[in-house]
Amino acid sequence: MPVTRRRLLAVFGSSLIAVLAAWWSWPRKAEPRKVESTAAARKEAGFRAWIDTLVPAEADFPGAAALGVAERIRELIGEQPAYAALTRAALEWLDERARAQGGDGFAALADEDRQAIVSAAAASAPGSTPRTFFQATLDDALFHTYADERAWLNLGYAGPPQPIGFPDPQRPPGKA
Amino acid sequence: MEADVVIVGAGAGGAACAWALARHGVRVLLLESGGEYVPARDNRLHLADWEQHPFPDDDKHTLPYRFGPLQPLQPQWDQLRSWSHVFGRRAGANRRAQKYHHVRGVGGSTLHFSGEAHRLNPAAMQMQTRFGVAADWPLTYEQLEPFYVTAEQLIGVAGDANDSLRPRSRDYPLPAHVHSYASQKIGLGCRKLGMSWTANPLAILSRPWQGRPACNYCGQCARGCPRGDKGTADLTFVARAVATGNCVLRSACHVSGIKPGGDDRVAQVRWIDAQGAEHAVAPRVLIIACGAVQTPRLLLSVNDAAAPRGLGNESGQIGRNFMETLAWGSSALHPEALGSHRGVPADGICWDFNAPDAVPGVPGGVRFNVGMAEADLAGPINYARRVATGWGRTHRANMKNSFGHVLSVGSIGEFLPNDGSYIDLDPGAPDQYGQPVARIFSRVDQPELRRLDFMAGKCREILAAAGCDKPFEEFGTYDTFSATHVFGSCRMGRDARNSVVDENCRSHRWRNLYIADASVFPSSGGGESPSLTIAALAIRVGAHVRDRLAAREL
Repeated sequence: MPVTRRRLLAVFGSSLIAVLAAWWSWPRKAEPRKVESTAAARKEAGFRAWIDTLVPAEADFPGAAALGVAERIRELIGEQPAYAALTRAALEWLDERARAQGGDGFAALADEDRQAIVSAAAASAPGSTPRTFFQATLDDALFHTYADERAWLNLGYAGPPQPIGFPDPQRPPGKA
Repeated sequence: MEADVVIVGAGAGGAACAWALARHGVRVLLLESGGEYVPARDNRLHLADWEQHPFPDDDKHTLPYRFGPLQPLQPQWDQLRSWSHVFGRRAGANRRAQKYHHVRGVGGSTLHFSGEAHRLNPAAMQMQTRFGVAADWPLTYEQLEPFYVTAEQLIGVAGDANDSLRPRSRDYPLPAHVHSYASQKIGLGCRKLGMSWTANPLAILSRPWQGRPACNYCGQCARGCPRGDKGTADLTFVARAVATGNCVLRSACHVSGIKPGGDDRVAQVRWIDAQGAEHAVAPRVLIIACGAVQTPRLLLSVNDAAAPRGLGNESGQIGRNFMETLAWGSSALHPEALGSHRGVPADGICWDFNAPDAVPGVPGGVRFNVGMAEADLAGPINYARRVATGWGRTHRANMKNSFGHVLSVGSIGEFLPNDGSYIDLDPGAPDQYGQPVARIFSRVDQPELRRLDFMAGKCREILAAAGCDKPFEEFGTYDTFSATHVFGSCRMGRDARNSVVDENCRSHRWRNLYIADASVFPSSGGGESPSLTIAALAIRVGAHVRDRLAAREL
């Protein structure tokens, strides 16, 4: 079966790292520390809002943010340099898009504006930063969200598989 | 340490052979490179995050291997490329090396198998005589049949005795499992196409049996059975062999060398234990049972003046005739909520095309089976990532509308040996014990591609006839090496010039050296899972060795 994140990152891969390395090492004008931390906080809030927009809460579903999924994906990103580089580039892109829509970062946007940006990322060119980031983070968000039984409500799933198993599998579901 | 017989490898073959010897008073030392499976430690099926944890796949639970370059893909076979509605078509110009699925541990790959317990179709044992391909088995089905019976009784196989292809002298010990509701739908599709749909013989208990509980149909055999209802080799053959008092099991002991002697006998086997201490013993008999990748590696790595091309490799055939799993799987959504994550992984099977002349235009048979669990489409995470499309609220709605609706049909077919598929020793870095690593070369030739095309077409037809939409995901081994069943790298035969062992699985050259695993298979069969045949062959090897020991011929 396809290993999505690994495959996507492999495609995205080394060229991005090279570009980012050059970009980061390019001499830039020093900025005040406070501004930096504000920008970092805005991007972090943007990341959490991004995950929340990908897998939002509903009446019978807590959504990714409430299940601590953003934090888990952050840990994963911290362990993979290519994923970290992708995330830095994507959060820049998110910030730019948010500013273009008149917001102070992605997290500050209204729900419909966030969805418009996610839709744009999903529809962008294969291999591009927003498209790759969208695919990788959506896959990870789903992987962690549905590992929590609070996400199983109203799916018709009476798991986990053990210790009870699924007795009477020969009958239609719900009639066992 | 004193032992009459040393067996290397405690999987389906080594374990069955150990039991067959120990029960008759032969002292056996069973060496296993891996550890023991402890459900309380290794199994997570009772936890919410169970889907994030496949059967342990780290260095402790597998042996190292590498791949040679794989073949370029050709546009005329694009219909056999793996694809998914979420991830698209598998990219790449060449075939991809995914995995040789195996388990290093007491019980071997039975620890994660889906429990299929198949006898070979007798017609598939004469491929050379009938079709001029592969090689004939040097023994008949009738010679093997009593050992099938013994294995089925020991393992506790549940099945339906009505199988016209494979004559039986005794019924299965347990009644067949009922078809799950989803399996019934696939059966309905088969019947619409004029195909049969029968109970799949399984090493999974349909009733309590000999102190083990019946299956509770969680469907996750591939992640390891925490209950003990699956007939893994550790719970069946190894436990019984050790209980005789004649078999000593040494797990986490890696064989580091085999020394041939000067009298047509193997003189010594050495191993390294978990603490790093080296041991040696001079066995009366040495039996290798490490599977079709590691057995040739071990034999080829013997570097001795008496065996300059590797132990038992006078014919140059060790590593040759390697056969892999030819597999296809199609998955689609059914309009009805079926609860298709429930039930044993493959309770239904169609043998209609299993005979070697049943597939039009190409020799070698195939079978079709329920495939949801094998496709790993039986839990919320995989539904979320692979079945439900979209994101946000659309995705959640699709989850609700699709969960339990997936039907998958899988197919496995004959793989004929070719000169591009073989095992050798990788010239790169050695393993942690300083030994060469096995290297897998694989080539899928035209007969396999034609057979695979037939398999894919039928899978799609069955799903459509069952009332499904078009498939949303398909996986095949044309563009991906992914083998659960591997065979044939130490072929058995009567002619020492083109085989490695004789009809009793004894080396043509070394009279106290035997092989008891699927590496001896001259042909793969038409989609049958090999574990029961491995066990039956190994019990037969055990009987032969016991008789020779009793006659003081070894």
